[in-house]
Amino acid sequence: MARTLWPVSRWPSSSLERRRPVPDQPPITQADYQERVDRLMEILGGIISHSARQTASRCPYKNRHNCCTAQFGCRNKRKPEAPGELPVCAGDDRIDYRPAWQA
Amino acid sequence: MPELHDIANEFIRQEIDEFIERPDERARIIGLFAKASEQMQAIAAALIDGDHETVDRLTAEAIAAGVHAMEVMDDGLIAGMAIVGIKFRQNFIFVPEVLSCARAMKAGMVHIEPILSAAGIEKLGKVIMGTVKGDLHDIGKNLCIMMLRGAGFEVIDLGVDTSQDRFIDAIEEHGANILGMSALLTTTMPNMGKTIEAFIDAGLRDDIRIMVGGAPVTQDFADEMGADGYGKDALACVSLAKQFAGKA
Repeated sequence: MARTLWPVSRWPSSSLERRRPVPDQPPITQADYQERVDRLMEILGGIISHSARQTASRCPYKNRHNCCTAQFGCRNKRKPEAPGELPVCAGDDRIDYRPAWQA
Repeated sequence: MPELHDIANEFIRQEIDEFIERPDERARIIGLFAKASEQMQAIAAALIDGDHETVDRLTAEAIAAGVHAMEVMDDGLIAGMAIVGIKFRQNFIFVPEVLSCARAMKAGMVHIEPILSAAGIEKLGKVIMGTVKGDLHDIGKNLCIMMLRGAGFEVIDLGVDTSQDRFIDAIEEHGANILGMSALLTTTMPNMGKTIEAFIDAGLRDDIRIMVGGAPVTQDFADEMGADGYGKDALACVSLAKQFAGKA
């Protein structure tokens, strides 16, 4: 018979499958949590707004090393600089990158 | 007033020194990290680096050591995301890096969520998200998922090229009642309508609310194919999901 290491009441109700006990913590209120969510959403909202502006000229799949992270074909993709690395993006951000995407 | 050298973590110091230019933001971020423990600074550093495995491990260790979940959110995860947001705004990093950081944030939140749940704080709802069959574009969907998770939804990501059956199976398997579909191509956009028809055929349409989005999708198209809502971006996606969950 399976043995329970912690009282069942201490398991997170929605995460039984994780089999991880919930440590004792000082109480957390909905207001405590909401304050964090609001702060995080402000940061993420800023990210979304900026991404809309940025993707007008720069392909969103191109990372900071100018490598392509897309799972689909693109005519701007060039051979990786080393085996196992991501393909290099040859897009120059001066013309619309979207026509280079292959369906 | 705290100074940069008051921050123990060298990586965080370098990040602030190199990337945070505005004096008000610099002062705010330095103040934030100067009061954070070294353990929290290490979590934030790993998050900024997009290292989800380290965030996972360090957050688990911190929680096990008795650090309060709100401290981990404040001084580790959200503090790290604050630097990510500034670096992105100033074009030092781009969408793929932001998504790696969001993945690291999620790895940390996995350890916080059971504590929130035990405190009676439940998720806003459960959302199934996927790019439709034949479409491999996922950036828009991934940004929506980042926002939905940040807002407090549980999201099951089916990835790209998702068949109608896979959407239906996921709804049934996870007991979700919100579905989000994305398409970037005009050629794959009709698969949204076909998926909605498949839900009707399966007798499940009335059990779920369906939202759609993607560059070629419009409100008219969404209405025409019978979706419950259209989101033009990730912010609209969260608003719709909240509305569907009755949390707007």
